[in-house]
Amino acid sequence: MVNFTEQDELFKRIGKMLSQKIEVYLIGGSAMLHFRAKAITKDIDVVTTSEKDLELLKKALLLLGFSIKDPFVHIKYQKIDVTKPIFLIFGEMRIDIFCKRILDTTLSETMKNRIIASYEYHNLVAHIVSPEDIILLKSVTEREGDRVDAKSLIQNYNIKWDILIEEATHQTELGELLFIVFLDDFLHELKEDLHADIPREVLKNIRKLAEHVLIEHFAREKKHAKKMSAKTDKRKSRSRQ
Amino acid sequence: MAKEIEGIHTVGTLAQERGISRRTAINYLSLLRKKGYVQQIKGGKKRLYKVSPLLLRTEGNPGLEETINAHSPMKLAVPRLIRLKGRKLSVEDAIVEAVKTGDYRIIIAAIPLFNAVKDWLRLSRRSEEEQVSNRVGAMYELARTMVRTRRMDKRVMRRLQKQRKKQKRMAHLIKGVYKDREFQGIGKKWGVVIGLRKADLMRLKEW
Repeated sequence: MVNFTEQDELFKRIGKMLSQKIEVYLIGGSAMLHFRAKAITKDIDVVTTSEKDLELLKKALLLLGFSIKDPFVHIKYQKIDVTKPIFLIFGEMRIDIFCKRILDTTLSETMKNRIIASYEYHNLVAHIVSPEDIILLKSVTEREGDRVDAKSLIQNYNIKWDILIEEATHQTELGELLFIVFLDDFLHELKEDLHADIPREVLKNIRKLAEHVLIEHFAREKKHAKKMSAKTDKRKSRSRQ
Repeated sequence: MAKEIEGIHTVGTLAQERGISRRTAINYLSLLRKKGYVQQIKGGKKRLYKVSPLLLRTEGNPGLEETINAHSPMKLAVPRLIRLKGRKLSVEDAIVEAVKTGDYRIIIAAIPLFNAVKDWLRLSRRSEEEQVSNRVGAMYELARTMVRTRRMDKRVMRRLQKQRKKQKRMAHLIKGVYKDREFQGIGKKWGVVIGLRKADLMRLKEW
């Protein structure tokens, strides 16, 4: 468990240890610490924008005494192509480092443009993502704590739902087809189980989008399957001749 | 409460929106301000209050835009909260950072900062580190034509000019602007395409 002061101190040490300036994006609980939406977080979630930055950050953390642990990825992602984070641990502190993608979500340019604050710790520049993007990124996990966090964000802040829907569409355009399906599930669970105040229109729009994306996806799969079977039939007939 | 009244208000608009008296509206704003949810923005005749439920942590030192705003009559819109931890941006650092951005509005707003420079040697050292000596020198001469500035030490001037001899191509003060229409004399002296006109710098006199 990490509070803001411990996180702040850690970033200062990382900033001094880094040999070059790097920019990272804080998501999840560590971002919520920066606008006092939470007092403590289980882990620090960091997204880098390049492999080079990831290696520099990893090197700095290893020099500070952190050790690498095998990442735990939820069973629903084990057969899907997702970007697994690098887990680094030091005592009670855990840092999860992602590179450009967070499981099956891309850290898009629109998300980067919506950042609400930046903090510079020597060579480390940490950008804080907006509450809307925190909710979006929490929809891809299966942790109960993340549902509670999302509900508290909805309760305490004016969430711009149109941005949420826009970003969900954008993620689909970036090729993250499953994202909208998981988001739809997530928001419905929040509404039904935790009684979060989510407008009905928003749930309707996201459900429509998810259905549309799935229908298109299966139609494409069917076409592709037909083409492949036609090709194999041709090959078989040629080989018989 | 901060979530319900989020946005920019005057006392009058808040009272009208919430159906409360002016006195009550003032009390609400005062209470929220003590907790950090309200930021006062200087309006024209009336005071504007920006209410946000996001209680961002403001520990640390201000970033580039805020540092420029503290010394320049031309104020920049701050895109988001930027805080520096472990270092403070001096006027000299701010000039160098502004030149590095190559942004039109940041550079024009940073021109009056030459009147607040105390340590010319620091300015020249930082400019050399970031390899923007000639651009800083060109910006200083531009500043001299339009606004009141402190005089740069001749030794520092010669030091800044050293980069001119080393470079092969013209540098650009403003990103994306490759042609000089005015201030060509200054441009040639420093090996920099200024990209600004007198009309652009006249904006400084309007404030």
